Order: sequence, then structure tokens, then C-alpha cells
Amino acid sequence: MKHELFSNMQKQMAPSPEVRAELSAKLAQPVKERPKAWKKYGAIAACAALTVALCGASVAKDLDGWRAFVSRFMQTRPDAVYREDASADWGIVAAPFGPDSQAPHLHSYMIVEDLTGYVQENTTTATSGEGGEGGDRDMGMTPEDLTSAMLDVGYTQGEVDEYQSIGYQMTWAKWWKFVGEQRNSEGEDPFDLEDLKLFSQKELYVSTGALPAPNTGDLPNRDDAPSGALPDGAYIGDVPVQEGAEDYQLLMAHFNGTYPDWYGGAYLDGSGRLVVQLVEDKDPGDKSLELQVLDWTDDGHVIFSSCKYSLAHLKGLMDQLNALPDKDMKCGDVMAGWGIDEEANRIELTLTQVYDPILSILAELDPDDDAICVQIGQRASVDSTVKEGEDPAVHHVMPGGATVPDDEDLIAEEPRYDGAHYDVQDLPQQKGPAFAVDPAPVEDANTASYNPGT
Amino acid sequence: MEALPLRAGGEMDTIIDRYQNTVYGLALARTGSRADADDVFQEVFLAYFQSGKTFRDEEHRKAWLLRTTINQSRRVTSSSWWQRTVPLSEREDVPVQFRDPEENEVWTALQSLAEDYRLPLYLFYFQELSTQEIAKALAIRPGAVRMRLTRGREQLRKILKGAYFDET
Repeated sequence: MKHELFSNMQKQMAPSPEVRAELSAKLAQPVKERPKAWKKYGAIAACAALTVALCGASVAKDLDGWRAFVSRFMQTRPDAVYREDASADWGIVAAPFGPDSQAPHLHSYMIVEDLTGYVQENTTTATSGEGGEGGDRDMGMTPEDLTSAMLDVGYTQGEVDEYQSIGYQMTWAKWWKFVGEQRNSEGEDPFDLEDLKLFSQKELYVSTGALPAPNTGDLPNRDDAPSGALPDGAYIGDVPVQEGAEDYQLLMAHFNGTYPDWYGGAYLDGSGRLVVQLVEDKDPGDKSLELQVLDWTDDGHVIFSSCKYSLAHLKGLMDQLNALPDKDMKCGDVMAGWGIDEEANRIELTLTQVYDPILSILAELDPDDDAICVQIGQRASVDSTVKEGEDPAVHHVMPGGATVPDDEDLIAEEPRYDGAHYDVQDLPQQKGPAFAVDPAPVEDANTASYNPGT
Repeated sequence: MEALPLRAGGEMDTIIDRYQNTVYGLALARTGSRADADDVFQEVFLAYFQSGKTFRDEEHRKAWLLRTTINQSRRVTSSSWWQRTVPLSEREDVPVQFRDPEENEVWTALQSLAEDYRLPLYLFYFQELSTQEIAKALAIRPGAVRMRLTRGREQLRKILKGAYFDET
């Protein structure tokens, strides 16, 4: 290689003094505002209008179902006001429940939950959950709602009872998602109970971030079962979810417990792919971080997304929240559960009641008002502090009646694959915790954010 | 090397002195024309000045400049005006002239390659970047860079009939 030749050539590849002087003159001038691309904005606006029109047509098809839902909702919530006005956030204006219903909203993320409903679980695992289904607006279905909705689409009372016995907490958004998917499917009987069970299990995986349970026997052995269904009812889970989990573990191995400032978290999307959040304070044209992550995950199927806060920042806030109960007993009393939702790139904190001093502290911790999402609800566990008559906040029961196992259990108990088949026979002996149904847990083991001291 | 402020906009003369050959050379390799390289050179540093970016370190700044140079060069050479009115064969300033005939021969051979091979070779041999750095600048994977270097070397070996571009 001729270093000298290349070096000489490189020296000759320099701008002329005139060009350099011209640049200096331009730099000395005041910065001109770039002309606005009105044509581009016009085209975007036209596309948006077209999309809205198409969505409107699609929504109109489900209008009958929506009205049926509204009438049922109004029966259970007589204090709610319904306006048939599409611009009014689906038309329902619901008054909050409970003794604190007249309290002013001191935090813009404050959501007053139905006291007879369930508090959404906070997780510190790789995902949260509503999968773009409307997030905070998604309401849990009461057993009566679910019964009525299932009967409406053609399920028998026996099927309804069987599904109810599973204990999966269906929400309205997920229900309409299921109905939409089934109506668009090509099967002869779109509302089959097994399809509903399958859908519920998948949603549970996505919402908890848990890997599919190996060999639970929960899913029937069906010809159209997804990949991973084994004979004799054994189930090893969706392969894509496992791939995403492997990518996640590779990524974590490189971080080694210390997260860089550009890393905003990661989660598995609905198809099981790993989505890595990059803090948006970076040049969009700079793909170095994406390439770095791809290198770390051995060119895995990773999707990138941008977010505002780094995981390190959120963990710092978590540390301060963790210290709060020790500093102020009253704060500790009202803090029911908190944890990082990496998908939403924020901390979710559940309070048992509105308590102004803690809201003031939160306002200081989160001046932009978007890093900590505060909800009012019940404690996420069954313990001595739960009032009599209260329903436990989270039912972690998978279709089939087994409790949802911890992530660690699942990873540790992954069935061995020798290239030809999975070793599923040894699993029942190995996997005690995943099948153990704890009749009265002292604390909710799946709520990693739960603080037993509160 | 003197430490420079990591926020764009300050110490512009020093920044330009340090990176002008990097930016101009890459623009020249990409466009094949001094006139276009002049434009790209000015656009890149104006964009840098106006960006207000804060860089993590010097390597980040260099990667940003390389990436912006490639983008600006692409904008220049893909504009309809450039394509319609300035056919490559009729450009007055083509080819770029060097002092030594051997240098002109190497440059002409390099310019005869497709862009996919030309830029990695230029960045590797002339700017002496690593394959990782080239991968970042071109937004491709390091494996792809190595592959393009190998194929580009093969083609140059046939054209130049000499060991100008070896693998060490």
C-alpha cells in the first residue's frame, strides 16, 4: 500500500482559499430562517385528511357495537353523561368515583380509577402494555359486561362461564380488538372459545412482558395453533417472542447493569420483536447507536423507537420514589405501587388517595409532568391493608387456571431443544413455581414494583 | 490535539481547519467535481454552524460531519438540475487534476468504480478510517464495508495492474 501516494493526494484535496473565504463570509452573516416548505405541509395535510376520512368510514361500521357498549356503560355509571359527538373523546364524559371525586387535578396524569375495578399493574420488565389500544383510557370489563358482550357476538352461556372461570381481566379495548380481528378472519366460526383463549393468552404475554409458559398444557392441541404448540397440549410459546427475549438478554449483557444516557429502555412488541428506545436527543442521521445495538444483538431483528427519557434517568426517579416512604410515613401510606413502564417511557405510580404533599414532591421530581404517571386506585396486592370487601387489584391467572409465572422462572425453566425436539417431559418436575397456585399471597410476586413496607 | 468545544457553533475556524480536508476530500470522491465539492464543503459547515448540536466527543463530531457530507453530496448529484444540465462527460472540471501522473491514474481508476465501492475505499485508504468508522459514516454494517473493500480492491487491481490497494 502506498501511504505516501495517498497522503499526497489527500493534501491536494483541499478547498481553495477563495472557497474558504467565501464560507467565512457566509458564516459571518446572520442566520437566515429556512423557507417553509408549504407544498410539503399541504401534501401532509391532504394525506392526514384522507386517512381521517378512511378511518371514519371504518369506525362507522362498528357504531352499532359502540352504541350497545354505551348503553351498558350508562346503566352501570348513572352519573356519566353521554354526548353523541365524535369530537368529544368518544362522547362519554364520566364523573369520577369515590370520596375524592371533587379533588382538583394537581397532576395532569392523574386518573381516578373505578374503585370496583382493577388497577393496572406496573411492571419493571420489558414491556407494559396496552399495545397501542388507548392506554390510559382502556377500561376493564366487569363480569357482567363480558357476559353481555360475549353473548352478543354469539357465544353460549356455557362458553361464557368457562371463559369467566379462567379469570383473565378483559378490557374493552382488547375486546374490540378481538372482535375486529375475528370479524376480519376467514374462518367459518369467527367467535370460537379457543380463539378467545388464545387471544387472551397472547395479550397477557404482551401486557406482562412474560415469556410464554412452557408446557403449561393450557392451550389445546389444535391444527391451527400457533408455532410452538406441541402434541398433548404442551405449549412452548411463540418463537418470535423467544427471539426478542434473546436479543434483550444480549443487550442487557452489554450494559452490565449500567445504562448509558442514550438508552431509554426496551420491550417486546406484539409480534415478539425487541423494540429498543433511543433517547431522542440525537441526530436522526446518525445511525451509529442503532448499528451498535445491532452488533450487540448479533444483527437481531431489533426495531428502534425514540423516547424522551433515558432509563438511567427513570431509575434515578425510582430511587427517589423508593426512598419516599422512609422519609414521610404518610406518603408511604398512600403509595400503593410504582414501577417503570419502559414502553411508555415513564414511571407509573398508583396512590390510594389524593394527597397534596406527595403531588408537590412529584411535581418537583417531574417538572415536565410526563415522566411520572399518577393513578388513583387500589393496592396491587392482597394484604392486611386491603379493606374488607375490596377486590384484589390484579388477577394473574392464565387461561387454564395456572398462575402467571415470573420471568425468571420461565427463563430458568426453558425447555431444552436438542435440534430435533424439545425436552418437555422433565419440565413439570423442574417447574414448580410456575404451577404453584398460591391461595393467599402475602404480596403480589408479579408486581416487581410493589413495596411491602407501604 | 487541542480540545475543542463539543457544541457546534464555537471555534469555527479551528473546526474548519481540522476537518476541511476530510469533508472536501469525501465530497470530491463522491461528486467527482471540484465545483460540486466546493458547494458541499460550504453547505456542510454552514449546516454544522446552524445545527446547534452538542456532540458526545470528537469522534461523534467527525462522524456527523462525514455523514452530513455524504448527504449533501447526494443532494447535489441527485438534483434534477445537476442531472439534466451537467452530464458527467461534458463537465469542464472533470477530471480532477493532481500534480503527479501516477496520482491522476489512481484517482481516475478510483472514480471509475461504483459509488458503493469507491467511498469505502476512499475512506479506508485516504482518510485511514477503520471499518467500524466507515460503517457509521455510510450507515451500513461493518461486514458490508469489508465486503465492499474486498470487491473494490479486486476491481482496482484489474484496472491499475499494480498493488496500490492491498489489504494491510
